[in-house]
Amino acid sequence: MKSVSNMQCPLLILVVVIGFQLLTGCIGTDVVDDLANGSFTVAIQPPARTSLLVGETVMLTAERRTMSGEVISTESFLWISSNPEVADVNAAGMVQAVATGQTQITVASGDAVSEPVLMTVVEDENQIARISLSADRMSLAIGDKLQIMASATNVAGEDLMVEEYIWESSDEAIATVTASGLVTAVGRGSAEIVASAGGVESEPLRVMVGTTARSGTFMGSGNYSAQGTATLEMDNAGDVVLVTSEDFEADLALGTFIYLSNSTAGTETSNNGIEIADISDNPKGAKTFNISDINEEVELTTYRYVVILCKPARITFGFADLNE
Amino acid sequence: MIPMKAARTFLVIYLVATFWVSAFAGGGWTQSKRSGYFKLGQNFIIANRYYQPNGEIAEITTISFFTTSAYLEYGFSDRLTGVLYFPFFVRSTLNQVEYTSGRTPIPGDAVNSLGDTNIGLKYGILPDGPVVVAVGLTLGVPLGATAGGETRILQTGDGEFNQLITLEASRSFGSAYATALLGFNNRTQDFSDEFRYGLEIGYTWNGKLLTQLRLSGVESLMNGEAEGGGGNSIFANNTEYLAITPEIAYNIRDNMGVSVNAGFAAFGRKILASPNFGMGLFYTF
Repeated sequence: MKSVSNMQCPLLILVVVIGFQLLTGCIGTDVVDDLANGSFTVAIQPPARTSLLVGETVMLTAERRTMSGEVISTESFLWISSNPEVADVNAAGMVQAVATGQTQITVASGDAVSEPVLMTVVEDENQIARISLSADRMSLAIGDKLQIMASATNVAGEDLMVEEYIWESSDEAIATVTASGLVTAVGRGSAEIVASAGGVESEPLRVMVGTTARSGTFMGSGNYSAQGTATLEMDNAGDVVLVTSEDFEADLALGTFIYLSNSTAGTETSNNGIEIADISDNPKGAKTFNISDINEEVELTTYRYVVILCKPARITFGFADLNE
Repeated sequence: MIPMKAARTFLVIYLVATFWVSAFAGGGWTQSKRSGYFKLGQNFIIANRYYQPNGEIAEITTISFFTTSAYLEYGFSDRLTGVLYFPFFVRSTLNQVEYTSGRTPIPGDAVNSLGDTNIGLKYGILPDGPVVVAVGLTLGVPLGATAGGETRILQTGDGEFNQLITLEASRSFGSAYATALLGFNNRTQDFSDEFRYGLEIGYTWNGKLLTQLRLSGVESLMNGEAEGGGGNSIFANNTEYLAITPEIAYNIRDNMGVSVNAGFAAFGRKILASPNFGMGLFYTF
C-alpha cells in the first residue's frame, strides 16, 4: 500500500481546508419572521369614488406595507363594512351601494387594521354626497383659534350650497368648535373635528393641540457616540417631519441609517422601525425628513426613539428618546 | 462608486484566533538551531451576537470569518527563532436578511483576501533552567482588506502596522507545563495601543495527546482616535477581550500531529460574541 509522504500530507490538508472554506463560506441568510411580529400596516388605496348612487358599485384595493412604506402584498385581506345595510363589501373589495346613508369600510390583515374610508350612498344628484374640510394648519398652541372651512358636493362632484353645517369636536377638553367652524384650542392632545349637513358627515379633520413637537437629545449606544437633538414635529401642512440640530453628529459606518423605532435594539429597530434615510455620506448637521411621505399613518406619538443604525450589521450607534 | 472618505469598515474579530496562534506557540522555549515547527491552520467563527463597546451583547446580522493560515517557527540559532504567521486566505461574509413578509431583503456581502500577517523574532534570554524566558518582537504587516465587499464594510485586516513586544516565561512539571505572557502592542494610524496578557497550561498524556487551556486577553490603552485609522475603522479600534481556549493536539507520528480548539470570549468589547473554532495540522523538523 502506497503511503502518503510527510510533505504530501499538508498539501492534502490544504486542499481539504480550502474546500471547507468554499463549502461553508457562502453568504448565509438570516430570516426575520416579521409577519408573525405584525410589523406591517394595511391601507386602502384612495378609491375612485367615495359616494355612490343606490345600486352602484366601486372596487377598492388595499396594500400591506412595511412600517417604512414598502408595499409587500396586495392580496388576502378581510374587508369590513361598519353598516352593510348602507353598503356592503365582498371578499374582493367590491363595494355595493344598498341604501341611503354612510358607512366606514376598513380592511384587516392579522392584527393590522386600516384607517377607514367613509362611503356615502345617496338616492340622486340633489343630495349631499360629500363634505370636505380644510384649514391652513393642523397644529395649535393652547389658546390658538383656527377657522375650518367646509364645502359640499353631490355624487357627481358638483358643488352644492349648504346654509348651515353642524360642527362637532370629538373632545371638547382639547378643542371646541363653534357653529361657524371656528376651533379654539383649550387642552393638550388631539381632537377630530367633523361637519355634517343633510345627514352626511365629513371625514374628520384631526387637530393637534400643545403637542406639536417632541424632542430628544442624542446619546451613544453601547459607548458609540452620538450628539445633538432630534425633533419630531408637525408642519403647517399637517405632515410629520423629523429635524436634527446643527450639532447633530454620530458614529457611522457605510449603511448607517436614521430610523424611528419603539426600541433602541438594532434588530428590533431594523425589523419594526421606520427607515427614514441613509446618512452615511452626510452624517452631520441639520437635516429635515418628511415622515408622512414615507408612511402617512405615522403620528407624533407613534414612535419613541430616533435611532442611528448600522443597517447591514443592525448595530445601534445612538438614539434620541423623544419622551425625555 | 462609494467614496473612500465614507468607507468605514467592519470587525477584525478573527484576530482573536490569529494573534494567539503566533504568540503562544512555543511559549518561552525557542527552537533549536535549524529545527522548526510548521502548522497549517483553519479557523472559523460564525456569529450573530456582538459585544458592544460597553461590553453588553447585542444581536446583529450574522457575520463569519474563515481563515486558512500557515504558521512557521525556525531556529536561526539555539536562542534566536524566526516566526511567521501568514493567513493566506481569509473569507468574511455578512448574511443577507430576508423577511417572511416578502419585503426587500437586505443584501449580504463577502470578501476574500489575504489577512494581516505577523513576522517576528523570539530570543531566549533564559534558555535553560527550570524557567525559560524569551522576548519577542512581532511586526504586524497589514496585508488584509480594510474596506472589503460591495458594501466596503467587511474587513480582514486593520490597515495599521503593529509592533508587538512580548515576554514569555515557561516551566515544565513532568508531563505538564505552564506559560505566561505579557505584551505591549504599539499601533499606528491613530489606533489605540494595547496591553496583552495570557496564561497557558498543558499536559501530555502517553507522549501523544496534549491537552491545553489558554487564557488570553487584550486591554486597550484607549489612547487613539475612537474610530482609528483616520476614522476608517469604527469597529476595529479599542477592541478588548478575555478569551478562554481549550485545545487538544494529537501526535499521529513522531513529527506530525493534528489539533483542534475552540475559543470563547468570556468578556469583550467590539468583538463577536460567539465561539471561534480552529483546527490544524502541525509538523516539526
